[in-house]
Amino acid sequence: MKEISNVDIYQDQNILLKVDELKKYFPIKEGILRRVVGYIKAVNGVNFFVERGHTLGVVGESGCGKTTLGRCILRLLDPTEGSIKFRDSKTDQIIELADLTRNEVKPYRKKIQVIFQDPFSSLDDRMTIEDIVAEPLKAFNQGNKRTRKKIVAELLEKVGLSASHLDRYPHEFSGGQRQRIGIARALSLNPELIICDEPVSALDVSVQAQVINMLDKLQKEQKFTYLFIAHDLSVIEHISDRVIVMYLGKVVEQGTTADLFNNPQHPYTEALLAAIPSPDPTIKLNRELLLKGNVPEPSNPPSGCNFHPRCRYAAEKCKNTEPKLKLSQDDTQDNHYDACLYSDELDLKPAIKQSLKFR
Amino acid sequence: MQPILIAQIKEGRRNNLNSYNTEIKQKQEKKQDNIIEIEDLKVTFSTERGTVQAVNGVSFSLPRGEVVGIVGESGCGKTVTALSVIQLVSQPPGKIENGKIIYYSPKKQPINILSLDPKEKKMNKLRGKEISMIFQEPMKSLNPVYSVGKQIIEKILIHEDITKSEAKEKAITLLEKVEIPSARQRIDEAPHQWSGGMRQRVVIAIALACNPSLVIADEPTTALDVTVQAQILTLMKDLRRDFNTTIMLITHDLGVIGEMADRVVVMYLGKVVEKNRVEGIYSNPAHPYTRGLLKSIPLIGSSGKTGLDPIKGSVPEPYNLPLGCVFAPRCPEVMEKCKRDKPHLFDLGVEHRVRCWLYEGDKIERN
Repeated sequence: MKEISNVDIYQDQNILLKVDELKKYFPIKEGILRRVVGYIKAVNGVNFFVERGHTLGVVGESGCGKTTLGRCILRLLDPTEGSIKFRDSKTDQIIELADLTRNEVKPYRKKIQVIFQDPFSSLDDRMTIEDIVAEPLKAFNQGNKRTRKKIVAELLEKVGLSASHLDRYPHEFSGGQRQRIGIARALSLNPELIICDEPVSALDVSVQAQVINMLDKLQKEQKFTYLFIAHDLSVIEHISDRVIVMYLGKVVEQGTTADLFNNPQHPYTEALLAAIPSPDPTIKLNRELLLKGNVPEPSNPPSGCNFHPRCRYAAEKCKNTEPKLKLSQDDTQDNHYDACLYSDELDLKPAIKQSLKFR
Repeated sequence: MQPILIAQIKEGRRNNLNSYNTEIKQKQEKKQDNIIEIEDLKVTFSTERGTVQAVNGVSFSLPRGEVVGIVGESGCGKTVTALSVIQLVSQPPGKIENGKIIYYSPKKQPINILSLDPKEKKMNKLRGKEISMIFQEPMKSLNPVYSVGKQIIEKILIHEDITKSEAKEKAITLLEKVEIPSARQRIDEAPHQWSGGMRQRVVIAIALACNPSLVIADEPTTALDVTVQAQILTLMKDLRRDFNTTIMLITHDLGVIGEMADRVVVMYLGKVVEKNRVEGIYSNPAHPYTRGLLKSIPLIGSSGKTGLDPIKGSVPEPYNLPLGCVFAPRCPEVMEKCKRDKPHLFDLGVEHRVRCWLYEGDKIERN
């Protein structure tokens, strides 16, 4: 059986990032001696790859480790175990980000940037827009003050703001405009990979659509690669080429967006898809498929398949056998993987198609 | 908008005319059973930068037993409208300038809520007992230093004349009703020991504690995961069915509206721009803003890579509103008239109203 580890970043020039068995454990400390009594396994053995110029969507409920995963790749957090291989397109070398020290990782920070969720807390209120967007340039000693100003003005135009905003402060902007400023800052060093951590969830619907369209356009123009973390499945479906679904720190399914939404192979994916409310009032939620209960504590995950206590198809074997991410039965060449022991036997329901009659 | 579309909408209106006439007759025979009628509500806030018209002449009614969804982007006045209904607009800086909110209590005489003093005993009896509220953030709307049980019991004791142990029993039944497992054992736990979804269930239990006839839910699922959102939505539907509660559902999520609402009121910058039954809002949206909202959301399986079609620009600052139609600066179908004159509310058939000059020539309901 073909394993995901067979996808080879050394062979395939299109692969920009390959993550293998990545783990990040946070210690739980107790008592006056702050003794470590256990670990929160936020990311617990994650494997995936991202192709250059594509968008990989990451979905899952809160606490599934999607943000921690993003921060490990950015090396804002040091991974506990595993490998993060990144292709440096200039030298065409593969760099192992997980092994680098804080100093060694610095040159690669230029190539991997981040857009944060909350546009109100991610900008410093005391800095002007020019200072905010120019800060990464300054940190990497690029250009002088005059050329930096020119670059910042160009960036602002690119994200739909204007050069006249240079001397203003963040509080003068709306949520959508602030998010554009955050995006301009992420673009300033011309990165290859941009980690978008819920970039549109704090925005109003019409502004959300504008920002999504802008991210789309920028990707087409400049071949950016996005790792797009979100909990809104319709946004994920719209923007992603491939999607990974996470549950309790593990990937339970990954595949192309079409495969995942039309032909889910893991019961958790089916439940997520069934939970999307449709704006069409004639389509109601299918109660049978909805998940019950809560996500278990990540410090003490259930035995066997992590999802078995909430799974409507769970069998005896699921309680003690831990499933591995494996190639799905329907897969031809699109690299569809799932981690369900019974995925070959189950016939899971796809996402319900939505449409607007008046469009 | 293409002329064909307007023609279609007008055609639909004509088809509705017959049923419309019978509806009027029925109305005259038996007055429509509304629980709340909001008439020409105006609320302003004075800020350092000037006066903001948060709600600017809003009128709509909530039919008993139905779910009425209020949709709009931030700053459209949906929350302020809701807070006015239970007199929770903080005054100052807020000020209710005008309007009536008539509450038709199941047993008593109708009263104008706005004529009551917010701090008066009569208002306190109404608020929480007959009309209660579910707030957006389950993390913030529970007190972290009191146990979950205590917060439910507190409300029951305020409004009902029963003993503490009876109230506790009632609280346990309520928690069971909102599907909290082993409620009896867990009732004395603190809110932080519970997950977000469970806390929102507690907030719903508190809201339902005294069998209210109206529940105002302000973005009840916005802070929750999709899976938990689906649980809460189905729970609210079941509770509504069992208790025949009227729900005023405030949200910006059109998916939640499609799932829950019977009627929809679309608001923009303090004004109602369109109202209709939910099927009509979805299949036959008339106002360019409603159409724009629907075109902005990514739809599973159909938006694909074609791109979204968002409304241009953003909601203008509320200090200096446009002279004519407030939506004119962003409207794709703007005409000269829109920049000059405020549009009336036009009648497009049975329950369909739209505030847009595109429909001029149709029957005018009111300003």
